[in-house]
Amino acid sequence: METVVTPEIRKMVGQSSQPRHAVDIVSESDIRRWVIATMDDSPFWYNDEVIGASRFAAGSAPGPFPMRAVGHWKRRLGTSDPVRALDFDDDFRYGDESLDDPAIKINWPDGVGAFHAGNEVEYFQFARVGDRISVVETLVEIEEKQGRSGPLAVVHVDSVFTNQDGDVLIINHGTNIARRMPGHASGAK
Amino acid sequence: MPEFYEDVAVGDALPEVVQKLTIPVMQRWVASSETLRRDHYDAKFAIEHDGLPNAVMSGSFSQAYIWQLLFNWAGLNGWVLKAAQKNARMVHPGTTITFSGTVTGKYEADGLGYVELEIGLRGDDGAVAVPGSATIVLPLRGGRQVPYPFTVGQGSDARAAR
Repeated sequence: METVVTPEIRKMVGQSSQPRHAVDIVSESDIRRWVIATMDDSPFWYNDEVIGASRFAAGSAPGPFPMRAVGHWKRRLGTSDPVRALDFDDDFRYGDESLDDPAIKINWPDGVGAFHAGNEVEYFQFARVGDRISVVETLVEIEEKQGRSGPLAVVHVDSVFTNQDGDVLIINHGTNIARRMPGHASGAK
Repeated sequence: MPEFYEDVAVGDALPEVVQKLTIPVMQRWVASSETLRRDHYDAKFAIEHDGLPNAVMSGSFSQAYIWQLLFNWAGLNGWVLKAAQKNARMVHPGTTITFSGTVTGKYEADGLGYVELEIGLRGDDGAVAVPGSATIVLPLRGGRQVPYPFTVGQGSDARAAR
């Protein structure tokens, strides 16, 4: 069966990254800007009486917050600035690709591209102001399939987000799809 | 917004939320989250460089937006245990997005009520661009409080016990 998954890629299944730590601790400003950007009018995010009457603590951050907090695009001060070097029409996607852990960074064959297909997130508790969030990613499974336009791989990655005490905040079960891109004839057999 | 598990029936529709997706909405999200991919806020770049019809709504925005709608529906006595989504179609600025949800199932386990939902964001043409599903935990009337924090495996155990 034709495949886009090389033996080297297949061997990576089961590997986990080193913990990647958020650049900043969670701040009130981070939460305020998130809540405004998602157009959330709930008084839970600002009214002390409402928060106090709930079973949640003050300074809680919205559920998916940890996934953005540890992103590669959060540049640490003192690191090189990729934006400064951009030309007018240059693409810009990620702040610091050096944060990619080789244990789970898949190098697809020439002509094969991967894209994010979806995810399922389990929520256990909120991150809070003052938390230092970390993530460990594990390459759980690669399914090899035949699509309409040829072979493809469905890649399942679990990401476990924790606070500084090791408490699990959320777990993201992410799915990526890799397939040969139009116009490229080469690829793994 | 349901107060207790018993207030929910299979087939119930969540209140729809309608929002115009504009470049300022998209820019504010990428600035807040620092997800600076140019095709998420720069229409000229998306069209001329990426060959797209327009800038594209970030999947992380739809995830954050959907979560807050679910959280507000669940209320402060409930908990959004799980939310899944697929980025099935691109959504561009100029689209009016509508969030909707329907209760597809419910069950009790370990003294708590679990509500399963089909959710989605659809565009002006009525097609669902971001389909998904969610599980919300609610207290039973006269029952115990929904635990917080939820512990890892608690929700999975409940699903397995069905």
